Amino acid sequence: MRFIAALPALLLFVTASVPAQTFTVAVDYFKLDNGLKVVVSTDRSAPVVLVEVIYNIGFRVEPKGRTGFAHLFEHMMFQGSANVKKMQHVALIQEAGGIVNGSTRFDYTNYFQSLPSNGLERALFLEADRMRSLDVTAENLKNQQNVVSEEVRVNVLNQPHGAFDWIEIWEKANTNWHNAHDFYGALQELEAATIEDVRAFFKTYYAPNNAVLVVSGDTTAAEVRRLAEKHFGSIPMQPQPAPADLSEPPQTAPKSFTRTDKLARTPAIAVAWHLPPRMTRDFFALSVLDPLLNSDDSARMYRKLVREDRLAMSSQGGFNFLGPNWDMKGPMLYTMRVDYFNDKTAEQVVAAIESVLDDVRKNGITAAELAQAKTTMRSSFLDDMEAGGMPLFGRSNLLGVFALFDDDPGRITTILPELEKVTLEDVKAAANRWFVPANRTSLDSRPAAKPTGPPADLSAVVSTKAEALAKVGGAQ
Amino acid sequence: MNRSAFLLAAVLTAASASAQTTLPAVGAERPFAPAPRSERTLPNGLQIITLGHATVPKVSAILGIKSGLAAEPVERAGLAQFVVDLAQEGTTTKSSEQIKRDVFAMGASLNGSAGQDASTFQLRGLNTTLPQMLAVAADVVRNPSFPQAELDLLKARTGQQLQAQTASPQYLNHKMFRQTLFGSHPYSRIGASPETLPAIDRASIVSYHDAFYRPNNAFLIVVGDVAADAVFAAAEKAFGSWERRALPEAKTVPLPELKGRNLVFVQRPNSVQSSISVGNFTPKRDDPRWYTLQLANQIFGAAFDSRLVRNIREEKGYTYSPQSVFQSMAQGGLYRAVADVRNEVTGATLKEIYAEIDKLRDGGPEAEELSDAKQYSRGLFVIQNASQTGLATTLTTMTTFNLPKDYPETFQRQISQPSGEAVKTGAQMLLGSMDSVVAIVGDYTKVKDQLTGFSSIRFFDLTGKSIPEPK
Repeated sequence: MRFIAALPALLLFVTASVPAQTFTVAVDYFKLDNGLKVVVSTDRSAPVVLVEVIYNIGFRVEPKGRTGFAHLFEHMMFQGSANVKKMQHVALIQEAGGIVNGSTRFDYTNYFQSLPSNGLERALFLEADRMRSLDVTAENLKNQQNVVSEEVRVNVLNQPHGAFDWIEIWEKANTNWHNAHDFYGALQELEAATIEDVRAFFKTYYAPNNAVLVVSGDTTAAEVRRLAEKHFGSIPMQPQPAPADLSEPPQTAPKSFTRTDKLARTPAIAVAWHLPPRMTRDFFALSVLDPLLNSDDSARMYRKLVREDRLAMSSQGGFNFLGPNWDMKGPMLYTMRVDYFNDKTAEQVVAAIESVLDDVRKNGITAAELAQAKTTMRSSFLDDMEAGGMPLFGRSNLLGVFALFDDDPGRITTILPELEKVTLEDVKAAANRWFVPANRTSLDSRPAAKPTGPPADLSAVVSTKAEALAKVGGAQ
Repeated sequence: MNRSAFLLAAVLTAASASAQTTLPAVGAERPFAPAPRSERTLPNGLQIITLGHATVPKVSAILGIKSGLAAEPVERAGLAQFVVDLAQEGTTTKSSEQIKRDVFAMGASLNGSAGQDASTFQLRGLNTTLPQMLAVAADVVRNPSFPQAELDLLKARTGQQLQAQTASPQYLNHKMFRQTLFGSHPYSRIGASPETLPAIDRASIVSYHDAFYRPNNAFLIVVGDVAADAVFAAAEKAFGSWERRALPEAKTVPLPELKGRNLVFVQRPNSVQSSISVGNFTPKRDDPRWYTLQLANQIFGAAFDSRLVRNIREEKGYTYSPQSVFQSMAQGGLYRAVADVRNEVTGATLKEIYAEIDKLRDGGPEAEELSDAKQYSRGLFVIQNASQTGLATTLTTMTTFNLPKDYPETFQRQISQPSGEAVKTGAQMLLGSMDSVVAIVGDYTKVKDQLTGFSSIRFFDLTGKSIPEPK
């Protein structure tokens, strides 16, 4: 079966205080006979293409006893295939003037390259060769086990507070193993992986009928179709296992945990709330509330924790530390990280956070805030459409995950209209359902060594009245 | 779809075609041709450069002051960053909260940073709000009130931040490497320290601002889905009445001499890795040999597929993310090879880094390696300049370092010219061997037996204080 769903040019525009522009995302979508989904988004603004393959396997679904395996496997995809030697994929893309990388996420793994458009066919050949014929040796596996162990050390084990705010908090807040294990991997489990594990994982999950190919930029749907048929068309499909059960039972009471950190010199706390299922009314309502709570120095949490109460050095938070709100399929957490002053406590920080949320639960947000948040979401969505680390990456990745999750890349054009529908009542109701104490998990991370007291200048600040800050300008 | 349907499809497709086994050639390169730039200098000296690039209906604007960390008094290191930060915390007509709310309300962002040679305010927003964005930028750079209460809060946060950073091996390494390499030169500084923080007071901030935040020491870059006429009109309105003034005389300090292999070690108990830097001085940014150094850097370790990465990552498995950093500034530059490695291979990593350095210095690049590096550099330039912010950043680099006006148009040709012999000479300039700095942050008690090749080692604690050899 084969079809082409060439979506009509969809105009993204909304009404808000800042007049909206129109911007069109071109989307062509078809499937090869072997089940490979193909999305093309033509954009001639620069002579570059973004070529990405997204596989429907993320780190939630890795074998038990093999934590970190999905990510280790991602490294193996650069270790050679039938016609491409170890690391030659990278070398051959570089030779074509491009850059390449891969990443392992909650619900998918992606491989992507940005390169001048004259190298398009080369990139497709390389992606097809490894989808067809990954060729891994024991030596290469050992090498990448070492590399990934160093990755875990540099990003987790040798860092102050480790991964307490992006891995440990998931282990604490969730109860289903899929959502509550160490995604980066315990070193001894990484080292236990065998070549058979790699081959089985590849055969099952890295099949064309479990993947999406996305090409964006300086090309056409016809050109991509011809080249995709040529290079990917004969890769055999594989039967897929039943999807894993990722469901997370509702949390009914607040949970709080503490940890002691040997390397940290100052304290920090992570706080998380379970989020509603993706793309639901509550999900969009909280997506609008998010920038008002945690976007920048104008946001309510920053104002309360850093400016008014002087509890924290910094405060940040959001839906997804690896990407935009829209690229996860399974259960999600809204997560905050607050680095607070040595002489303050986790209880004070949590109480201040609760007072911000309590205000939203009781009074909602203002009409002006609603309009501003929608403008901000629209503006940042346009950034995703343009770049996102490398040219056209944000757009390609979203098109790919919508094809993967929903068989509908055109869903990208529904995000802004869905956000625009959100009302003041929606935000208040969603906050009362999700941003509540019973749904909250906190993890306080304290230095093992006794903090050395507040910095010298803090005493002066604590005695400064908050009104002084609210005062308008004026040389002092 | 059930399983039998899958199998049937698999059999049919397998019979219909066989896989291509040869690498497709890359087609002819398309020339990189950015849209023409429009330039204007206002009567007060503000230099404006704009370029239309309609990828999305947004715009990137960078307001730059051609003075940064290098222009601050040594006893107030970090002052330039405080000026940038505090300028956004209140003006003669707006409070901090009003400024931040105005920026958020229009869906924009405003960030500021002080580099060695320039301080920049980076704005990004919807193209329809460009006049308002420039109005905010102008208010912040022209009319900051530097409220004392905001300064107190910023200093308290910075104090805590400096303490938090003493736990980060990468921060400690960068700081110690720079201090050791540049010594008393202003480029040794990367921001405030616990020693200089108390000296950064309101008077010094006002004085720095007064001296350097002048239109005849500033530039404005605007790139996006905008028309040049509208940009000039908005810029004229926001900055036209900004008063010019004679600038303090610019001081250029000669770089110190680098002799021998200088090893400094920051003792960090409980480290499970050694965070390593190896490096030296390089020429300044406008040096015509920059292209040969750039190629040598790609070949040595900047690219993912490069000598250093192939060796210590893909062959030896010592490290995850070795990096080769080449940073050129107005008065000179630095080179730094960086790797975080497990304790047991600290000495072996140093040996391999120096072996690769010596190999490229002595033998130069292979012919194919060089042509690949050229094509990679050409492509990378196209990729870097595909977005509005990418182009704005390139124009900012050009303006900060007074590069030729046709830099974007000539980059491809310039990077394609150097011979193998020229790049070999470039490698000898880029990569110091006998005269270099090595900075290590780690647990000395676990790695000391691996550091026997160094005649003397200087030791420091996490706060930068000199200490005796850790036992």
